[in-house]
Amino acid sequence: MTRIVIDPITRIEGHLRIEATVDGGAVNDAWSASTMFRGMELVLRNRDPREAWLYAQRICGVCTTVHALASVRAVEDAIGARPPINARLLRNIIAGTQYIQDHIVHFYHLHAFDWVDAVAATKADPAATARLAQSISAWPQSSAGYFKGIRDKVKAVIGSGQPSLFANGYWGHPSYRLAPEANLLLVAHYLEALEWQREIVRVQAIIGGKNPHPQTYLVGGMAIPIDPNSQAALNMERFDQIRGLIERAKAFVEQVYVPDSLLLAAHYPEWFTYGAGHRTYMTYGDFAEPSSDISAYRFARGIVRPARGMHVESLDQNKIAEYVTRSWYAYPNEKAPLHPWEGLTDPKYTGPNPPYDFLDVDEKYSWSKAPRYAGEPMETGPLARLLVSYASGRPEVKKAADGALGTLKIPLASTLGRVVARALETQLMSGWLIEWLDQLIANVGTGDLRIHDGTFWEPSSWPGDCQGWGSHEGPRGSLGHWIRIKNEKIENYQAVVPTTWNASPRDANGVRGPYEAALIGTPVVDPARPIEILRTIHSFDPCMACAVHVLDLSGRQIVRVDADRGAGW
Amino acid sequence: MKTTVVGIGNVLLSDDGVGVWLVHRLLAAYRFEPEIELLDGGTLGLGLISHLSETDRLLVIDAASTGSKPGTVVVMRGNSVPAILRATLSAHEASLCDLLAALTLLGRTPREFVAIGIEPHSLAPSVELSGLVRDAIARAECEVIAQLSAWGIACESLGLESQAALTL
Repeated sequence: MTRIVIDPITRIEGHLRIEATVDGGAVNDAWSASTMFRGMELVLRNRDPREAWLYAQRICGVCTTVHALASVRAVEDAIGARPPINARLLRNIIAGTQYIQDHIVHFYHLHAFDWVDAVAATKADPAATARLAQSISAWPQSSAGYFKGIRDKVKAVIGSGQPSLFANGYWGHPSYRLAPEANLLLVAHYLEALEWQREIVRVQAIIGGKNPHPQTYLVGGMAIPIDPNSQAALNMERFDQIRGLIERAKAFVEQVYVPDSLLLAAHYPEWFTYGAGHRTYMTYGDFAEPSSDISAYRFARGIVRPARGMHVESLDQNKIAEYVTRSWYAYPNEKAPLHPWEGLTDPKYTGPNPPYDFLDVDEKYSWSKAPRYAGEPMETGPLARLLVSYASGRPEVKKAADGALGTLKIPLASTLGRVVARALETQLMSGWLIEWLDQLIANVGTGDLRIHDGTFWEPSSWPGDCQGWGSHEGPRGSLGHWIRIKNEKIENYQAVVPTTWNASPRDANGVRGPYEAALIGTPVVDPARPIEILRTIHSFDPCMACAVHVLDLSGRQIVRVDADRGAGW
Repeated sequence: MKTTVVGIGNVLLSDDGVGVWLVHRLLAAYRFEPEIELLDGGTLGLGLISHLSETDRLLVIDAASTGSKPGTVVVMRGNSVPAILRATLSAHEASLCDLLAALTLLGRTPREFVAIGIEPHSLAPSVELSGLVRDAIARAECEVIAQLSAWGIACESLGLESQAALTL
């Protein structure tokens, strides 16, 4: 048996270490370890709850708006504030553009090179690449001359030996399956997506302010005025700008991202048989607007276990609890999980002193807690959303999934199923963005310019000591913030992020977390270059969200793949 | 000629956020002529592309582990920066390197690039800087102002107390 360590997993946000044992060419056990303490919730204690989002949005640089939204919702839930419809629609528009940006960046810049060989792309025939591009999409940038230019550029970058985004890759690995032309097409779109993402973030700049960190959230609404007759407010001119940006994003999603995802799917069919894991899926649900009723969520709320049928169990957040039995934290009772309102963040590292070869995976081995729903691990994210919404009979989701399933004839519970689900929901989201903008303009047209409800702004209006839960379906999955307020200050604050669900270690019963379970059975052709493990882990879009950001000038080699062949395993 | 000053780091993790705090201090304490852009870059990584792709001169302020004493301020200019980044391209914090690599790939590399690094002391969860790094802020601020002056940008002090205005 071979033991593999990948630390850190590259092309993700934050720190993740995977240890796995490989036998007979496939993973037979795996451990997912978050190797950096976060504990940022501690920073929020004793602050004014109305400021919580300002700090919460700093939990992760990639998910600023996602945490800001969950945070204001948690406080609003606790104190009973109700944001007006204009504010809720604006929040949706920010959230929706975040989906589109995140998913496209994930597909091209974090995940594509698990499937696409950038070096092989330099051997492509530009004319054949143009024919391939035109056969799957009407996207205009598809001439032989265009692809020749890209090919020459990539050749020059790789040939220069300079550090580049193409520096790290298992180029030439036998698990790459695409023809040179498909590789070149995807590399070209990798570059186009880099350019394109500069544009979509302008929606957030128009609504959220020029600073990269949004300034416009507010407990009870938003802090940006809407007034069709004012240059200093959101007016028709700005709405038109937003519409233009959304429509261009929609075209990119439909003509570039979705066809490219299906191209990958068609060339790697066996990856619809690997990587499923526990097959237990959870969503908090989101996006009811214009309704504010949970039953109107476009992404439905609930639990689905396809192995036991497509019945949707309703979700009760009181059944969520986190174990630390195998995590580097102390609880009064290490075997019992705690609900986030009672949650403790009491770090107690008992792992080996670095540098070390292996973690002691029979003991505590991760800084991630192990959230469970009624004791069960749950996968969260695009695949969970698609399955729960499908099983709940959401017509738009059914139509999108049936279209893809009909085309591909594939089971979605798998590594590539996550990739396809992510692309399909991005397409849905780009349509919803236009609907939300239309709803906003129509409502403003009735003369309703309300953007904030200050009824519960003053702490004297709050129901004394109280607690709340703010949920959001973020791009990476179900995000929950739990807050307890005492004497008008934050007494306790806990964020359970999507990646905590997915990357969790084992619990008190020894049950694996979703990554760990998904890796079982994943083939590994060459233990020194375990690209297959990256495929399954990256398919979840990990965001360890610790975002410690220190420039490391000491030149330490930190990326390490260890394949310890034999030796006692 | 566009100039951008960007502070990078996580303000919830003590000294990791020193670059961000310094940018907020500069915004509060100076008036700049001609106008330049000062950015709170947080930990946005590749998300900063849209903010940096039009800039000719880039000044990055970040916590930097050089193995020196906490609070040490280092200034890296020109060719030494890419060389240092190359050595660490595959290290744990790839986003700044990735950002520069991405700008290069897009043909939008800034013509001049300066990085000012401050050696951190604590990365524990807190919005407070450690004492050693707090003391270093004034030295780092001088380096920023000196660099901007060298680029012909006048910086008028608004007369705030040193160490005041460390707020988001």
